[in-house]
Amino acid sequence: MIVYHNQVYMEKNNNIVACIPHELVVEILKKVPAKYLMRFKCVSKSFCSIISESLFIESHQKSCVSEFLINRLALTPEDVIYNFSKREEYKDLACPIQYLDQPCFQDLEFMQSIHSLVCLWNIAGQVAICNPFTKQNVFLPYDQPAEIYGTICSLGFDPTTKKHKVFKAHIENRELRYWIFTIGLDKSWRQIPSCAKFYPAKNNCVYIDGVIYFVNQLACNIVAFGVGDEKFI
Amino acid sequence: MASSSSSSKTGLKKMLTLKSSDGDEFELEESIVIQCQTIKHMVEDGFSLIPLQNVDTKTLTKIIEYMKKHAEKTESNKEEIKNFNKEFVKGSFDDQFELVSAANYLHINGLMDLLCQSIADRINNKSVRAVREIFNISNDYTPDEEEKVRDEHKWAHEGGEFDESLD
Repeated sequence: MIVYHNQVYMEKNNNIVACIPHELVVEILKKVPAKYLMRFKCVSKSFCSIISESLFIESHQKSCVSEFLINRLALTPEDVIYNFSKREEYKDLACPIQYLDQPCFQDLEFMQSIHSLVCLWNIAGQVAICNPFTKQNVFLPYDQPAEIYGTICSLGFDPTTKKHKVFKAHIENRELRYWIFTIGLDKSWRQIPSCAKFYPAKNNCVYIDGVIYFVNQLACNIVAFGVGDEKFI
Repeated sequence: MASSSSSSKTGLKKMLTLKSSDGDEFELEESIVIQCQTIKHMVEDGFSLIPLQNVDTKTLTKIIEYMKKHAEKTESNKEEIKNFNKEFVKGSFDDQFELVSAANYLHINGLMDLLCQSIADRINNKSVRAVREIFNISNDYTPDEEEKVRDEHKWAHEGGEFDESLD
């Protein structure tokens, strides 16, 4: 190995070939769509660790390929109608939609998304999070107490810890309860203190810069929830 | 008279000299070269001869070609610039990597984006083996470890042929 002009050269097939500096490999991989990146995890340990690193994932999500919001508008026994927004560069939509149509998600009729993650749930409180691009999914803890209904979920992102969280509201024993779950950290849902009368309207929330805004069905106002400190603002 | 820059007052364009690692010198107008952040800072510090020890003549020639073209950018020649960019990224992977290293060192953001995007587009459909060759990376997985990583994303390795070629 010869060190020359701050670049490392290695001998290969009797030729001197430059190794591409780590920081440049990162910049290039940021531009590769997620579904190909999953294959490139096999290239080497250093490739795999770049691709799995949370800062890389965050900046990758911000770049062009994964700006993807999806919603199910209607669910009939024969058909599911999707509504999605995406950047023009992303043309291959068949694959994520096929993924979401899988039987394992069929009981989960509601859907909301941020970044490239999709949250699916049903009124009884079963919740799954999936990434249709990397085809990974996780079902969140669910124990089946008798009297839960009216579950509404929303995904949010904590910009400080770089973690996605799921907010959940439901009615249990005639009382409104709110819960939070940090994806990748929590083992169970954590209940958060109830605030003034608040029950989110279905399909009427939006996540912007660390805050989820809900349309409140009970008071006809907007309720904001800080994802980082897990408090109503 | 309203204040204006010294160059337009005198009618003379301020020139700068770039020197490649091979010792070749290129004289250019300052207005072209300041697209490059590294040089811009050196100009602000009063340098007019700028030695670029990490950039050889072949790469520097290409970079100057890019900066000259992009200095002409206006609202009306967008299509022309687009075609220029398309031609610009057609070289071998090794040439592209040289250019991307230089663009990174010189902090030419537009060129960095262009090159990274084009390399990314070209490797999308390459096989794992081809990507190793192209990036000159040796496989440091044991066969068992590689199999395990492959199994985690089985679907990503299925569906169609992957491109084994190295260009």
